[in-house]
Amino acid sequence: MKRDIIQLDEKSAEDFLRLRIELFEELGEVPKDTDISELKLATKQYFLSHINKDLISWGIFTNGKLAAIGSLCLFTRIPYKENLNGSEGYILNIYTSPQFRKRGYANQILDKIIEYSHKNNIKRLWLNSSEQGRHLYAEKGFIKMDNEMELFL
Amino acid sequence: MNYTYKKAAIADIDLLTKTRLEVLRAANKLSNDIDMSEVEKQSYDYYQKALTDGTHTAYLVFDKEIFIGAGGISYYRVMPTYHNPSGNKAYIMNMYTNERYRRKGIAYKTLELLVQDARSKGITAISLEATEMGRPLYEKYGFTQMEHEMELFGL
Repeated sequence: MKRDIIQLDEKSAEDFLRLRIELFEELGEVPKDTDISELKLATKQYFLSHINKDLISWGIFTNGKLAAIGSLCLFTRIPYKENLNGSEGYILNIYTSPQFRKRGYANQILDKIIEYSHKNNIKRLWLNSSEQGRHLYAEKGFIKMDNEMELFL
Repeated sequence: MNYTYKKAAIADIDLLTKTRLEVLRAANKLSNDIDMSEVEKQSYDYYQKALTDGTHTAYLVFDKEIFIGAGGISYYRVMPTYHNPSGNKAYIMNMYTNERYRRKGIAYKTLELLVQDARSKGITAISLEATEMGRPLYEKYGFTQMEHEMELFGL
């Protein structure tokens, strides 16, 4: 069943946070028995101060509760010929609560993100894919980057 | 050999824009008659904004008055995670050394200055797109291949 995708604002902060934490737990990002109150606070503050500025988030609601989510962080790099204004977007936080999976929600949200990027002259989208997600992203035309390197300080 | 590594200030914006075009022409093997005026304008605007709000640091390298190398780092913020609670990240671009000055450690030194700049801002993760030529330098510095990055380009 297709449902409406809502562009989130400050009012959805609690719901957003709930799904964000679910995602962390599922990914095993946070060691067990860790106090995550600070991470929760940082995430909520980040959401409230960035939403609809350099953070755009979309969600799908069922019975008034957020069931699926996806976000786009906007940033600018030095312009180049193929991307004159240097606007790029990083897709993250694509997540659907387990009981709402297999309904194509992530797919719908991803389409929305790509449509938004087209409209707003964002020439390049990035993401860090899980094994599960790779297939979906490849279907949309995403390709693996072979030359990205990273240094942790 | 004594080279000057100059951290670009807003007063250097004309030089920064001019050298950026030089780097693009050299890196993409563009002939001088290709019109780059739009890239020039956009680059100028980018530098003006990013040097003012602190989201970019650029180094230019000189042999006396001759421009011989460059490197830049852009700062941005994504969603906080457990391993990066601030969400702050950095991306290195525009690394360049003039052909005649290669194999003298200029890029390594430039990279070091950019990493220092990131460190001073509390950044914990820096990424970049390596060319075949640049890869050994970044590996030597400790950069590792990212395995799960995907892109959709040319929207």
